[in-house]
Amino acid sequence: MRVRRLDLTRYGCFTDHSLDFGPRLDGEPDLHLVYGPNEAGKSTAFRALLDLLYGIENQSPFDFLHSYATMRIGACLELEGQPRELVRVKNGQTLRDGLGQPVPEAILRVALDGMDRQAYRSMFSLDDDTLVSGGESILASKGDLGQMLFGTSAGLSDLAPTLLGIRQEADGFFRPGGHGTGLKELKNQLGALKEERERIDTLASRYRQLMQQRHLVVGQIEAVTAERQTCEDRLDQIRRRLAALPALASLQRRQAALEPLAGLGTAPEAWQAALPLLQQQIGETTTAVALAKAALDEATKQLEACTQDLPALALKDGLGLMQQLGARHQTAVLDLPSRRQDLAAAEAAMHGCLLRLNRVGEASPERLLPDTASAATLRRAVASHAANAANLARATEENATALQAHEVAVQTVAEAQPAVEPGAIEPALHALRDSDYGPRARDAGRRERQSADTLTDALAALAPWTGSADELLALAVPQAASVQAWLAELDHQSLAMRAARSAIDRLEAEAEAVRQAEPTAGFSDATDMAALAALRSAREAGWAELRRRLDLPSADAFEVAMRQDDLAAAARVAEARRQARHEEIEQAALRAAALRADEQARLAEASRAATERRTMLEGAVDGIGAEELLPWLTLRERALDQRAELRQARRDTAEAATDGDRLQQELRTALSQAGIDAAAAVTAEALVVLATTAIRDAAAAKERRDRMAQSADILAQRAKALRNADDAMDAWGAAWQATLDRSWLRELGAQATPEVVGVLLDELAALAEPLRSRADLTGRIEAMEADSQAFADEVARIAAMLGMADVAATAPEQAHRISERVAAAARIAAAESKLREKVSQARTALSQVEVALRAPEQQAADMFAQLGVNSLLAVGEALGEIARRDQLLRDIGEAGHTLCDLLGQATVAAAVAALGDADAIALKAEQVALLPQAEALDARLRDLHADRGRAEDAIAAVGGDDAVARLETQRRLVLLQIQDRALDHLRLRAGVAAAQRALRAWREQHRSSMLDAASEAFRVITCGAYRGLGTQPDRNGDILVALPATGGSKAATALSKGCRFQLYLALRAAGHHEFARLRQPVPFVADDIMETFDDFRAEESLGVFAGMARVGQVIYLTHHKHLCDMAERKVPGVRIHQLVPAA
Amino acid sequence: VARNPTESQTAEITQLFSGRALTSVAQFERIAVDLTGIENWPAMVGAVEAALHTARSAASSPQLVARLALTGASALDWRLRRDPDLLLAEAQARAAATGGCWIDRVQVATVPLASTPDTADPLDDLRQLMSGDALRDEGYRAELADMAAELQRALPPECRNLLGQSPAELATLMDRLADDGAATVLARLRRMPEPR
Repeated sequence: MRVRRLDLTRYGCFTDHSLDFGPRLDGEPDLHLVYGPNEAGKSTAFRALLDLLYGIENQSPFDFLHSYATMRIGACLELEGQPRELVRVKNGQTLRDGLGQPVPEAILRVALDGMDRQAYRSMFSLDDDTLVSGGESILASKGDLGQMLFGTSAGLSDLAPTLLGIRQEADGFFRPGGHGTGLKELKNQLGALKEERERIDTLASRYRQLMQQRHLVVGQIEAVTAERQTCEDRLDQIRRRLAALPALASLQRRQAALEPLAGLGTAPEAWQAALPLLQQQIGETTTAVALAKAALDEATKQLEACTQDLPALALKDGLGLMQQLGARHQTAVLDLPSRRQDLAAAEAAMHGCLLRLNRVGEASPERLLPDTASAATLRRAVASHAANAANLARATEENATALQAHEVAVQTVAEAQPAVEPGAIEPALHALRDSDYGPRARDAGRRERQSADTLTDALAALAPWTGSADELLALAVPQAASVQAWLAELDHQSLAMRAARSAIDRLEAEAEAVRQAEPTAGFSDATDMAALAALRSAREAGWAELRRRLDLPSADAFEVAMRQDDLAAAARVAEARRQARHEEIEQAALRAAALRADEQARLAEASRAATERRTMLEGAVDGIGAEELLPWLTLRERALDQRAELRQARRDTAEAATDGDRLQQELRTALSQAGIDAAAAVTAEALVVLATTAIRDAAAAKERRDRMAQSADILAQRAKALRNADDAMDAWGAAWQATLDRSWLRELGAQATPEVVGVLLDELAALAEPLRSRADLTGRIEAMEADSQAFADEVARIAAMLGMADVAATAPEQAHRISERVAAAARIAAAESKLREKVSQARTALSQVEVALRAPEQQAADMFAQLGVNSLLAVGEALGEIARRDQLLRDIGEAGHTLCDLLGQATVAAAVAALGDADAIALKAEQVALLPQAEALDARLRDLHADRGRAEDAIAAVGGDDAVARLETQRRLVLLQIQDRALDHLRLRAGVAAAQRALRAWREQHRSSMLDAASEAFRVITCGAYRGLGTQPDRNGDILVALPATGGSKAATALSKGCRFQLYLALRAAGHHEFARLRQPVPFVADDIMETFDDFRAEESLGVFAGMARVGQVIYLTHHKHLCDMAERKVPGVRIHQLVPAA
Repeated sequence: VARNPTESQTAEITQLFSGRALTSVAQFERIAVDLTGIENWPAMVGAVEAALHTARSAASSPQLVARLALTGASALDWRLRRDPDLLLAEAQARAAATGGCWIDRVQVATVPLASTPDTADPLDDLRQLMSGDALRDEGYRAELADMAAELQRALPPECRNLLGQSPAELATLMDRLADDGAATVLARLRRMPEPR
C-alpha cells in the first residue's frame, strides 16, 4: 500500500488542505520529508493518516475547528498498484469511496495485512512515545509487538495463546506442586474410598458375632422342629387307632349277616334290571297278534267283491296313435284354406319373372336357375372384362409415348460432338487450387521487404559502429549479464567511495573540533623550577627569622614569602594538568588519524576497482562508452533478430515459388494426356480456365449418354406391359365362353354378351324366391290331407276291436266315446290292485308280531330253568335275595380296606393283628396328655423364628461383604480414570512441548534474517561506533545486545538515550524490510523521532530511510530545516513537502 | 446393563474385567475402521456405523462393547483429533441405533494425507518442524522424561506401572505419546473450519 495523496478536508486546524506525495518514480527512493514549523500541523497530519486507515477515534482531540459530524479525511491510496480514492468520515459507514458510496473496511485490512491500529502504530507509525514503548516491547521479546516483529510476518503470532490454552488444559489434570488439579481430586476420591473400606473392616467383628447368634438360633429351630415332629407322629397314630376300632366292629357285624345267604346261586346281574321290561313286552306283543288277524279277514272279504272290463283295459295304452292323429286332423282342418291362397300368389310371381326372361313356355323353370358357383364366376367375368379392356388401352398409349422419347434421345446423342476423357485433370486442378503458395509468396515478400528496412535502421542505430549485419554477428561482445554485473559493481564502488569520503570528512571535522578545544600553554618549565626553589628557600628563611625574633615585621615578611611560594606551587600544578590534557588530545588525534587512514585506504581500493571495471566496460566495443554499452548490446540483439527474420522470409519466398511451379507442371501434363493443347495458356489462371472447361464438356457428354440408355430401358418396359395386357384379354375370352357353355345361356348364342348376361343374372336371382315358395306350399298341402285320412282309418280299426262299429258317428265323436270307455276300465283296475295290496300288508304285520313274541318267551324260559321256578313273580323274589348277598360282600371288602388304610397294613388279617387288644379309653387318655405338649412346642418354634429374623436384620444393618465389593469397583473405576487422564495429560504436554520447540526453531530461522538487517541498520546509524547487534541466552529466552566497536557487549538498557532510540529505529527498519519481503510494503511514517540524534547519526539515519524507501513509502515529518538540507545532500531524489501554517 | 452409556455401564464393564469370569452377557471387541479415501464427516460416520453393524452381526453375546480404532490416511485426520468429544458422541449415537452395542472409547490413529506443502500456510512449516526427527531429538526426549517422572511421582502407587515396567517400555510409550500429542496439538492450532 502507498499513500499518493492525503486530503485534510476538515480535520483539526486544516480545511481543504492536501498533501500530494505523487506517484512512485522508478529508480528514485520513495522518501518524503514533510517540513513545517511548530504549530503547522505536522502531528495533526500524522494522526490524520492513522485515522484515515483505522477510523476517527471516539474521543478525537481534533474536533476543535470542525465538529465530529463534519470531520472528513480523504486520500488517494495505491492498493495493489491501483490508485483508489477513499474518504473517511466520523459517523455511519465511515469509509467511503470518492463518490460517497460505502466501502468495506476489509480492503484496508487486507492492504495492511490484518495489522490493527495498535500494532501499526507501534511498528510503522512512530512518534517519540511509540518509538520507545514499542521498542522496549520488542526488546523484551514479549507482548504483541515482540511476537509481531518476530512472528506476525508469517502469521504464527496467535498460536501462543492457543498453546497456552492447551497447556492449561493439561495442567488442569496435573501441575507439579499445584492445588485443585484433577489428579488431586481423583486421589482424594481414592483416599475416601480407602477410608470407607477400613471403616467397614472395623464392623467385621460385630458382623461375625451376629452371624454366630444367627447360627445358634437356627440350630435351636432344628432341634425343636424334630421334637415337635415326634409328638405329632404319636398323636397321629392314636387318632388312627381310635378311628380303626369302629371299622373293625362294623366288619365283624356284616360277616355274621352273610352266613344265612351262603347257599344262594348266581344270576346275571342284568336280569334284575331286565325283568320288569320282559313282563311288559310279553303282555304287549300278545295283544298285537290278535289285532293283526282281524284286519286280514276284513281285507280278504272286500277283494272278493270286485269285477273288471278286460277288453277296454287292454287298450289302455293303445290309444296314443289315435289321439295324435286326431290332433293333426284338427290342425289341418284349420290351416288348409290359407295355404292354398299362398300357393296361388307364388305361382303368379313366377309367371311374371318368366315373362321378363322371355321363357313363358318353360316346362321346368327350376332349370333356368344357375348354381351359385356359376353365378359367381359369371359376375366376376363381367366385372373383370371392364378392367382388362381399360388396362389394354392404357398400355397401348404408354408404349407409343416411350417410343417417341427414345427416338428423341438417340437423335440428341447422334448430333453431339465427341468429348474428351478428363482422366487426371481434375485431381491436378484441385491440387493447384487448394495450394496456398500464392498467399505464402505474397506474405513472405512483404516480410522480406519489411525486415530489410528494419535491419538497415537497426544497423544505423548502432553508430558509431559501422558494418554489415554479418560483420555484426561476427563481432565479439561481452554477455549482457556480465555487463550488468560490472555496472552494478561500478555503482557499488561509487557508493563505497562516497561513504569513505563522508567518513573522512566527519573524522576531520572531529579532529578540528578537538584541536580547537586544546588550551594554550602559559608556563615555561625550566626557568620556573629555579624561581620556585628560590621562593621556597626565601619562605624557609622567613620562617627561621620569625621563630628567632617573634615580632610583627618578621611575621609580615614570612607571610609575603609564604604567599609567593603558594602562588608558584598552584601555577605548577595547573601546568601539569594542562600537559596531561594535551597528551590526551594528541592520542585522540592519532586514533582519528588511524581511522582516517583506514577510510582513505578503503577509498583508494574502491576507486581502483571502479577504474578497473570502467576500463573493461569501455574496452568492450570500440567507441562505445561504459554506460551506453548495455543499451548498445540490446540494439545489437535487435539487429541480429531482424537479420534472422530477413533470412527466414527469403527462404519462405523461394519455397512458395517452387511449390507453384511444380503444381502447374502437373496440370499441364494431365491436360496433354487428355489430348488438350495447353501451350497457349501461359499463366496459372489461364491453365485453370482451360482445365475447368475440359472437365465441364466431359460431364455434359456423359449426361447425354446416360439419358439415352434410360429412355431405352423405359421403352422395353412399356412394350412388355402391352404384351401382358393383350394376353390377359385373350385369357378372359376363353374363360367366358367355357362358363357360358356350362349353362342354358348358351341357348342365347351371340346375344350372350357380358352386359346382357349381367342383367339376366339379376332377373334370375329374383325368380328364385317364387319358385322356392311354390314348391314348399305344394308339399305342405299334400301332407295335411294324408294326416286326415290316417285318423279316420285308425278310429275305425279300434271301434271294430271293441265291438262299437257305428257308421253314423263321425270319426272325432267315435274317438271320444272309445276314450271314455277305456278310462272307466282303468279306474276299476286301480281299485282292485289297492285292495290286494292291503291284504298283503295285513299278512306281513301278523307274521311280524308273531316273530316279536318269540324272543321274550325264550328269555323267560331261560330264567325259569336257571332259578328253578315257574313264574316271573318267583324270578323277581330270587333275584332280590342274590342282590342283598352281593351288597354284604362288597361292604365287607370296603371295611377291610378302611381298616388297612388306617393302620398302615397290607391285609385285613395283619391289620387286625396290629390293632391287637387296643383299648379306646387308654388311647384317649394318652391323646389328652399329648395335645398341650404339642402346642407348647409350636409356641417355642414361633419365638425362635422371630429371633432368627431379628438376627438377620441386624446382619443386614451392619452391611455384608457386598459393600466391600462395591467400594472395590469404585476404586478400580477411579484408578482407570486416573490412568486415562494421565496419558491424555502426557500426550497434550508432549504435543505442547513439541509445538513450543518448533515455534522457537521457526522464530530462530526468521529472527536471524531480521537480526542481520537490524544489525546492519544499527551499525550504519551509529556511524560504526557499534559493530552491530547480537543475542545472548537468558532464562526467558534470548535477549538482544549491542556490540560496541571497541569490543564487549552492552544490554539495551545500558545504552544512552540517543543510542537506544537508534536501536529502536534500526529494529523498525529491519521489520519494515522483513514485512515488505514477506508481504506487501506498508507506509512508514515518523514524526520527528531524531531529536536526540547528533547530525552525523541523523544523516546516516536518513540513509537508512532511503534504503527503506526503495521497497516502500517512507514519510518523515520534521520542523528542522537543516534535516531537509541534509536529506537533499545525502539522498538524491528525496521529495520535500512544505506544510504551511494554517491561517 | 444400563440403558445409556454412563458411569454405571463403565462400572459394569469394570466388573466384567476385574471379575474372574467373563460372562456371556457382554463381549469386548476392538474394531478397526479404515478411513482411507474418506474425505468428509458424514462418510466417516457411515463407515463407523457399517463397521459396528458387521461386528454386531459377528458377535455372539447379547451386548457388545466396542473400542473403535480409526486408521488410514484421511483429510479428516486433524478434525478427528480436534473434536474427540463430538466423535465419541457420534459413535455412541450410532452404537445405540445399532442396538446392543456400546462404545468404550474411540482411538484416533489416522495419518494426514500426504499434502502438497502449502507455502502460504505457516502451520505447514510448523508441521515440518514438529515431525519425524524433531520428536526424537535427545533434548526433547529428556524434557518428556522429566515430565513423565514428575507425573510418575504424583500418581497413586497402584498406577506406578502405567508408564511401563522398564526404561525401554517407557521410551516406546513416550515416543507414541509424542507423535499423538504433536498431531493433536497441530489439529487444535489450525484455525480454519474446513481443509478445503
